[in-house]
Amino acid sequence: MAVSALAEQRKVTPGMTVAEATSVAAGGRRAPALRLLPCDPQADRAALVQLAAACEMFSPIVGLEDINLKDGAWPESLLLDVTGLDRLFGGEAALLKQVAEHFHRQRLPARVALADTIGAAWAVAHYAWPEEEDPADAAPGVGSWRVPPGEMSTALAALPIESLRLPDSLLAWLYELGLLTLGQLEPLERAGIAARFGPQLLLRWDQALGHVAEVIRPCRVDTPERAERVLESPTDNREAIVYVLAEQLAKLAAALGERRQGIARLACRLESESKQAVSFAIALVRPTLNQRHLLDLLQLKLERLALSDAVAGISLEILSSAPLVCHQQELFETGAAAGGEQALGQLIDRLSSRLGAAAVVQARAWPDAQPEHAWRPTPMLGLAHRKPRPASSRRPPRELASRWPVLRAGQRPLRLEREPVPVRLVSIVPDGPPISLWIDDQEERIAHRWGPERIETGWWRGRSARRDYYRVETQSGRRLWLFRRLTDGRWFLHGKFD
Amino acid sequence: MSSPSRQRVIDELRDRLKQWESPRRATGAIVSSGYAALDQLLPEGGFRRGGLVECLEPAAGSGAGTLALAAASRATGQASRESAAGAGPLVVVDGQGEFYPPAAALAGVELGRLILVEPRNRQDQAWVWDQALRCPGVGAVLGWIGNFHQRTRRRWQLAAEAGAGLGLLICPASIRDEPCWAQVRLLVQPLVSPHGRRVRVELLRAAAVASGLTVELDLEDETRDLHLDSALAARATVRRSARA
Repeated sequence: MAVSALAEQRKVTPGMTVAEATSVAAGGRRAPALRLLPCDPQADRAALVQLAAACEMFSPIVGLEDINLKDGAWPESLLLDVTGLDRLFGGEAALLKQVAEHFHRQRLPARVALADTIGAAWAVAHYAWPEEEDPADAAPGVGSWRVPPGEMSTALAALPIESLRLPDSLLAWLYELGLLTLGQLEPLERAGIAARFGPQLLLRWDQALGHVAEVIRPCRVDTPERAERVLESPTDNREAIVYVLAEQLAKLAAALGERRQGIARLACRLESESKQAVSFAIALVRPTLNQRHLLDLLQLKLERLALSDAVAGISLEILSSAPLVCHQQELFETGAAAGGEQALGQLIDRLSSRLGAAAVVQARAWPDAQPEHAWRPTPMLGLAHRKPRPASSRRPPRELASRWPVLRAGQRPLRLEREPVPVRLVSIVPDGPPISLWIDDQEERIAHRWGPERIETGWWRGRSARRDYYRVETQSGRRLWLFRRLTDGRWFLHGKFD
Repeated sequence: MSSPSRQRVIDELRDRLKQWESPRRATGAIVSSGYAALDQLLPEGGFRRGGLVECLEPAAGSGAGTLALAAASRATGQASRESAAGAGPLVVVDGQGEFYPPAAALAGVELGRLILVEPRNRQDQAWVWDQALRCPGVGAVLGWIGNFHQRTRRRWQLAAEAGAGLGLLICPASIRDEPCWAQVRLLVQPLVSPHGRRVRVELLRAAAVASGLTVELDLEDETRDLHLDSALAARATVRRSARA
């Protein structure tokens, strides 16, 4: 989740609910509406790869920060190897200026740094303050920095310790000990650092200073990303189509395999003689080159496809690929072992391919008093690549319990009606508790009831809900969740405590 | 044919039928149902991975889902940290679109280890069950199903054997007399109780065990523990020893 600089100026922050963000952004004035876009890490990555391709005008080796990432993070930096290239651009300062202008022309805020090592450039680009004389510092979050050769220790000394790309757990430990800047690290004994904090801190420090080499792997290589075949005679034989798909898939896999990339999204296009085309796409939890699995997913889509004409041309196009060797975040924090994890990923691919990504989800607790809005579905596809929230905003696993500490097990029904169902109900006194109700065409006396639990939503949400909920037990022992709508006194069945 | 030899033939035939009908000898680990009293009633002291458990209920809201969810959280290693290592997540197959994750979270299920699948029709629902049960990365599969053909349920049993997870099916009580391919079939009947939640669980079928054993249990909302009443515990013990 992220917000633009403009939205940030209007006090919108990551983690807000849509309603809250809209309300805050409007600010009671006639301001332009907030534009909300769904989070799509795959598309983000594809856009970053496009930016990398455009940057090849500055360097033949342009990579993403994949292999240098902190655990589970999604890449957001481009790495350019400009060794010996500054002369082509009139010096390092001129090169920096041209790169900054390149992004400025596209109205993309960018922080550009040039240093002897990847680690130092990353640190400076992320954490250095803009220099006063830098013309680009007029825009927030934008700037360019050059660390002169051999002066990395000086340049890094004032930077915060998090500029070393360390995991959050290690950072928390360093904060506790008061190690806040890289300058504080320098006088410490290396043996002591390794003994106390493990090898990672020293490795990052050495990488930043150039004592340990780090390489940039190009993210784009000229290989075919599309395989196409025109059939000699059109066919509607599905087995023949699958045979050709397997053939095309093998071609693409061979090309990608050479650069250790896997397919993350793949589009298929079946064209008839009359140039009518049917297209579909598959997406994967994690990039793969497993041809059997990919073909299986294509077949699942193909099975549900109605082909009106015989197919004359078949093409496959890779919409998105990603390195196979990059660190892959586990789907579950404590989950299936490696083999099971892989099988689980394939299961999610298969289910999502046949049912659609929206039908295979992970539920997230949502801080909303209205029961039907108290959770949000997140499609499992792409979840493994999702950029984790900062540690400060992470919640413990039992997040619902921590968000609703007053609720206990059994106070919410295991099955909630898609829409509250109106029910006929008898109360002794108007607005009083229910005595009996008609359910499944039968009248059932209510033996016990617990409530009311009043649930009201804020006026700022538009259509507010005002309800008195009762947990009831009927004479047959069934437990139901009913509410009385306070605005008109009507009763509804909302759930069953199954 | 004399009466004893006729009886012997009938017994032999019954044994052979039972062998055909029974799932292949499962070798998976035993998982607690989540309730000690119910474990006592089960011949293996719990549910065996690689099989199906059918929880029948007379009507929605009877408590079968809570019972199944407790077993599912055990099968997915959410009851204790030690058993969490290596256990796959819980897959909930929700054909009706009524499963309410917050209730599961309040019952102690980690939403981060739950995959919710919403098939659009019965055909998809049957396919999802088959796929999820067959996957070795899944710890348990849970869902409310209608009256699926016994051939389909047989296929699910085979899938569970292949995947080694636990399948927990909540079914209408109307199928109680139909052939059963599951390792255990339970009937969960709600009882009226002003304190906590009370259900009567009847063991309709379990391998090598006579059916009809019942136990009445208090299902407490707050702790999700089922306690066997002392009198009932004695009754259950008597019945078990009578079977031996």
